[in-house]
Amino acid sequence: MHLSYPLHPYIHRAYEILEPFFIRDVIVSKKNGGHGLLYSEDQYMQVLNLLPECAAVIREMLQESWSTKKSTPLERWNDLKKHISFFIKQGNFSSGRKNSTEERSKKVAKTLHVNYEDEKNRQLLEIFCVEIVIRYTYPRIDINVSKMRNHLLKSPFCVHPKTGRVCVPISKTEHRTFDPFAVPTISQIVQEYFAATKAAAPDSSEKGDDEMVISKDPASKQSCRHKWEHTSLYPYYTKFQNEFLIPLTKESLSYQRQNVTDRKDAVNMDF
Amino acid sequence: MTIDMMFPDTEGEVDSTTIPRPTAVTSEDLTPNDETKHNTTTTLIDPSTQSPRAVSGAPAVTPYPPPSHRTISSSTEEPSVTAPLLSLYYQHLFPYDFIYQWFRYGTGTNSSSGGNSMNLFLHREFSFTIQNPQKDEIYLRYQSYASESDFASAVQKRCPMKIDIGAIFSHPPVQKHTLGSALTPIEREFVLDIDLTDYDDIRNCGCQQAQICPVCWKYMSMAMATLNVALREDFGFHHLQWFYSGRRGIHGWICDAAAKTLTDAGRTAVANYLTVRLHFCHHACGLCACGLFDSLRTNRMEFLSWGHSHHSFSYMTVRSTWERKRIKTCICRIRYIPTFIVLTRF
Repeated sequence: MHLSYPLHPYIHRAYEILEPFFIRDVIVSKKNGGHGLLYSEDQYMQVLNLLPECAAVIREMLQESWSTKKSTPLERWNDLKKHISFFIKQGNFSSGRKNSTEERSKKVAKTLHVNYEDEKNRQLLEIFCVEIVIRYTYPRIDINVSKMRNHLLKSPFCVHPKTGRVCVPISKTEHRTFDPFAVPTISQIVQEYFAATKAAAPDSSEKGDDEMVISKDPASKQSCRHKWEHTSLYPYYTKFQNEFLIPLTKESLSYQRQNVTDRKDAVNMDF
Repeated sequence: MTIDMMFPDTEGEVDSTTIPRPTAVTSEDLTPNDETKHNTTTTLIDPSTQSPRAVSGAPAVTPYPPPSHRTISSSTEEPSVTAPLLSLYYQHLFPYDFIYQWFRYGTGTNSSSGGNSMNLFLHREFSFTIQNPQKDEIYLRYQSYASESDFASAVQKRCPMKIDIGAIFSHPPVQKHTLGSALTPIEREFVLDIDLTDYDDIRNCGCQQAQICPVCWKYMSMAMATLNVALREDFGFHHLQWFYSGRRGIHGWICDAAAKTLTDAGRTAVANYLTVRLHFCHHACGLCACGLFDSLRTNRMEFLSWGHSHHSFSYMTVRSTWERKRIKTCICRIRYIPTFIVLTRF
């Protein structure tokens, strides 16, 4: 399956966003935190084998060059783009195979005095690099979850039953640096909470778990409204409040107020 | 220069103007500078020093620390979440006020509407998965609560292994047994679910299924970067929040009024717009891009762009029209969705 030509602006924009990720996180070797797509031979051959038949000469040239000459994945990616652009310029896209399946397209191409097969091959080559980036980086959403209103989804702030990790919000400033391994687990935060309780009031430990006895020192977190503020959940939840919940609540409240005003005006015929 | 060369350290951002456009790529478009800079030391990234990037701009291509051997899978993490731990968590640490403030959307008691508008929290479905002592799972659907305290009491009493959130219904969902099919969903946030399991064919870090590691987790960063731009710029959604799912993926909640009032057909259309599938499709839903593509190829119809004019139609309508009526006047060249699908009003 291929992308259509010319590229939809959406695809082009996605390519612009994803190509730096592709270079940093996909083509580099595993030692450097990537998937080695253009590092190891079996991986880069997968990519070269996706080239259309008309560009078999590029495949052979690059295979030979990369297996003999040592180069970084970034150099190989730039190499691939360079070779494709030169190949497109020289203009010979014949693959030597007859494609007899799409008669109507051939008739259209004929009227435009264009060799249909060559034109198709040229288009495939032009968008080849975009296809590779999209194929290896574009998000894969589970469409069944999104399409029905009554599809249930796990609640935020729950604990995952198998891993014990809390479903924490991801701050919009940390999309690229979010570390799932640093997300606290339920046992960790419960321990932190009780350690903080004990530290805050060591002589009141017999009072029971349901009382959060805060230190009498006003400088301490006496004004903590939430008990999670004493745990590793604090940074996640405060950012969630500031970045999402407060703006959403403000907008919802003003929308409701506007609704009430409109209803009153309608009753009083005041427009 | 060795074959095991570290990724070159670039001090600035990748120049987006050098990214090839759909027309022919020339050698001048490629920046040779990146190839000459080499960093032989490992640089640990301190997140606090990283400057925030514009969502639509290219991120700095910085070296990433070598992956640790940390993985998350159900077999390596703590084997179970015990009932006593859950009880303590729900008693002290679960943020009931966040859930209530969020999902009431300004309605309910103490609201500015004076109680005249529908209490959206009361009409919201919650569902609990409870584990009984025999380790069976009991699934309780259509739970609803009028206030934060009712919700908190129920959760603390039930101690569910999992809480799920459903739609806002026409009536309080607890009345399901009396209303039957009269209970209909009316609003729901637009949600996205992305799992690393769906990347198994391109994950070369050694992880499969529920296993994740720092290397393959980066696909989630890519997903958030791409989808945030699409949702903000193409649809005008602002109230987006991503959550870690707890194991192998992320969930996105889009809470704008326009998103909440999307019909099922609208949601399918938006989800298909955000879907580009060049890999083998494991989904058997028939509504995904490759399913439609196969249907088109079978019918051997070619269509030209429908354009962004007043000729708007929903994805569902078009599909049934194409399959049933074989419109010859409509000419769109479609190789995949979302090239030329124009959405209905939403």
